[in-house]
Amino acid sequence: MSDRKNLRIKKTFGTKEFLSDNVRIILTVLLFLFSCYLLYPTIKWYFILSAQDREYTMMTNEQLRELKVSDDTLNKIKENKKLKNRIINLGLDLQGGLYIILRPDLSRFDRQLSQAELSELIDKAMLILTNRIDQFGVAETHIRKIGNEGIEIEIPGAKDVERVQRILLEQGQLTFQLVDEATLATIGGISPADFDEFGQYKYPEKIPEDSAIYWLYEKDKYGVQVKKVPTILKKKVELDGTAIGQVLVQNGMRGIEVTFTLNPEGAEKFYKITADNKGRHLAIVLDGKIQSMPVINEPIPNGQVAISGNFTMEEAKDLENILKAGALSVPLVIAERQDVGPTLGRDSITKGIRAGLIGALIVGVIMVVAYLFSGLMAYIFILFNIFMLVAFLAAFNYTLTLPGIAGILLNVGMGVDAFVIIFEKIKEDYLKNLNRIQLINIVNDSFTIASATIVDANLTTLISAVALMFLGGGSIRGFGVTLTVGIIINMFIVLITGRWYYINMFKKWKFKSLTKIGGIIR
Amino acid sequence: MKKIIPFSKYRYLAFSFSICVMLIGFVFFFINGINLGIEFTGGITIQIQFSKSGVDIENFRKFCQSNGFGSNITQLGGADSQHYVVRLPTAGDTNLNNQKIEDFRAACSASFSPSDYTILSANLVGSSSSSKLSFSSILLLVVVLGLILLYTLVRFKEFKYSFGAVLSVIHDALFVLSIMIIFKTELNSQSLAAVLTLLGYSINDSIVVLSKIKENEFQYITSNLSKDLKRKIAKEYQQSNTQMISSFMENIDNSITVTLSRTMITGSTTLVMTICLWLFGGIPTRDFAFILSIGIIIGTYSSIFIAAPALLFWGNPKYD
Repeated sequence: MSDRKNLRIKKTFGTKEFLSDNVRIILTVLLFLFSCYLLYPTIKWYFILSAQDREYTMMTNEQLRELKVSDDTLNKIKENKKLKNRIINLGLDLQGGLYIILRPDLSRFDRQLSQAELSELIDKAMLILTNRIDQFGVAETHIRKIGNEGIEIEIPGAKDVERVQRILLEQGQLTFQLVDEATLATIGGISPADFDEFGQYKYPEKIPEDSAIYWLYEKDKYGVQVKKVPTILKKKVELDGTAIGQVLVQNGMRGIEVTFTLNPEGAEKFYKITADNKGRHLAIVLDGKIQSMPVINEPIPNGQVAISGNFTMEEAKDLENILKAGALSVPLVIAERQDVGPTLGRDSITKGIRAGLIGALIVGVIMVVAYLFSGLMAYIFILFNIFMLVAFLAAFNYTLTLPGIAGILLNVGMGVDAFVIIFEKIKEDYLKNLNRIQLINIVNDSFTIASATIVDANLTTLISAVALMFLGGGSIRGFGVTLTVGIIINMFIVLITGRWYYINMFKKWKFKSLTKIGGIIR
Repeated sequence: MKKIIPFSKYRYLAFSFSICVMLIGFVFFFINGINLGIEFTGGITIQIQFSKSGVDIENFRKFCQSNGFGSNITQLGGADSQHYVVRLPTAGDTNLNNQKIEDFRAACSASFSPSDYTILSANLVGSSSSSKLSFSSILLLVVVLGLILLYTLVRFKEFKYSFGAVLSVIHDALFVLSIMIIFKTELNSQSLAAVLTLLGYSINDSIVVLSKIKENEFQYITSNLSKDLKRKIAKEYQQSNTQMISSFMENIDNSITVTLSRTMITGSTTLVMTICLWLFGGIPTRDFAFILSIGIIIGTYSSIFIAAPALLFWGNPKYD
């Protein structure tokens, strides 16, 4: 068999060596450093930043304003907010919070609504709820439309759950109210200086009973609605939002205009108001906040109303949305709700991490006992695999849920599979060809042959994982994501990086047999 | 050289064992039914933990009944954990459901001091949501099973092998379902995810074993091409201490034996992780980890005793 031996020695490795050894090592180190760079924000956020800093970053701008934090702190908070976009966030099941799905109560309608009508209904509700969100006092509130079925709201760390729900379920009102110009004239106007530090008006006795103080709200640079100008409005609702039909933004003769139509009944009322109060201000009020206070220029008879002024396009769009939204025309029902207390979440994280560490340790022991040095190497690659997985999740600002943690743990257990398949293949080939072919060639060929089996074996698990990622609901999706990404990284690491390092280990250290330090056969 | 372990000799024993477990599961199904989670039935669950001693399950049940919260109470984590889950039915698709949770909070704060208990979580799934969730779960199950079956059919090209793989998947699904019924494990979206994951895992195990058999069969069949070649190969086998395989059944046993260490090592490392999650991972993932742990054992067992011996249904040809 000597002829065969000669033939084999001349053969180099099955893969084409298009990269030199040093380049490969540098690439691996770079990959490692890049993963560290991706993970740094997460580590900084959870382990370096103080609890105070984290709390500030999670606050709404309104709360920060109330706390009167210094400009320095504000700058720091801005930095931290940017940082927070590059970390692994915790899901509601881990940090505690309130998750709600609201659906319109369709039993109020005596007919089946079309998809378009449903969509419009939900859009309206979304607008109104978005307008109310700042009242929760949580900066990280997420609100999302789910199909034409409902609205999903996530409020992390919600403290007063009952209050949050009350705010969500309120019907809400868009009203037209007249400015009480008579009272304003007698008390000589009203300004923010007339309010004490608690926001109370200093001279409540001056306000007549049928009027009340309202504030004109404007968006500040953060996009939060803030109190701008106080004024006094008649409490009487002249007209409510249900009368509004079509709303449009136009770039007309007087610049940007917001126009809307009224239903016949509304048009008649509106004509009366405008005719009686020419030259006065009419306030458009949404949930007690004045959105706009145009002057009545002329009586408007036909229900075709135009509001003009020095609008920017953005302001006009906002007003358009507010007019469109009006009040909730249909009550909302809480169709799903999950609230998780902060204790349970914290507990889950510590226990999950503990389970992972214990498990990973035992897996390491099993691998070393089974394959000695090769097993240790495989284990190091698995740890690197998990490290890269976590870095990858951080890069995509992934939200980690409890099933997500389970997915990572499962990756540790299943990740060794690829190496096990290769080692077993090497063992099998080695036993068949005892002393006949160079060990290095057996190792190399085994990698090539086993690659197909590895891809094959991973594919079926991948099918389940990907399906869970796309079709699974709620926190289960997180499990699908960590499992899928983990499996893909695992295949990459084993077949490309791991293969090269393992073969080079054999080459450099001139292992002659698998029995001793290679550890595949005892 | 490793001795071939005659696994397929025990196939009828294994088949009978599996069928027995499934029958027991079937009987329990008629006694207890399936413990469906609120995702599928609609409902409210509230998880509460008492830190004050003396609120045992009887006391807590009395408290629930006297306040109109029924008596569907489960104790979590051991006999003296004082950690309970109350389950309430929903009242249609209205906000009364939500009110019940608030009522429960109010009743608790009226009866206990705030430092004595923690409401860990409260979940509500209304009836419209539950029907949507049930639908999407069934869709998920059908899609995953369909894709796995399709994959095995494409993968093996030969019906015999696909049959073995499919049989083991069906076996695993029914087996796990039986175990869940017997142990009254709740079927919810999490446990469904666990079942789907282990189906993927188990088919992967079966595929490795089955492809080994197929690969070997090709090798043995080519051995009867020419006498010279046969002799040469026989000599090589002798030299390498590999046993000669004389029948398909022996091929199966040999292939299982060869892949056994891979099956066992991967099985045990995965099992270690799920058992750790089960023991140390806390209550929210306990059922999930339980199903995965049982499932990995079943998946390993079925690839050895179900998937591979099932090939013998199609005869036991002799190689020569």
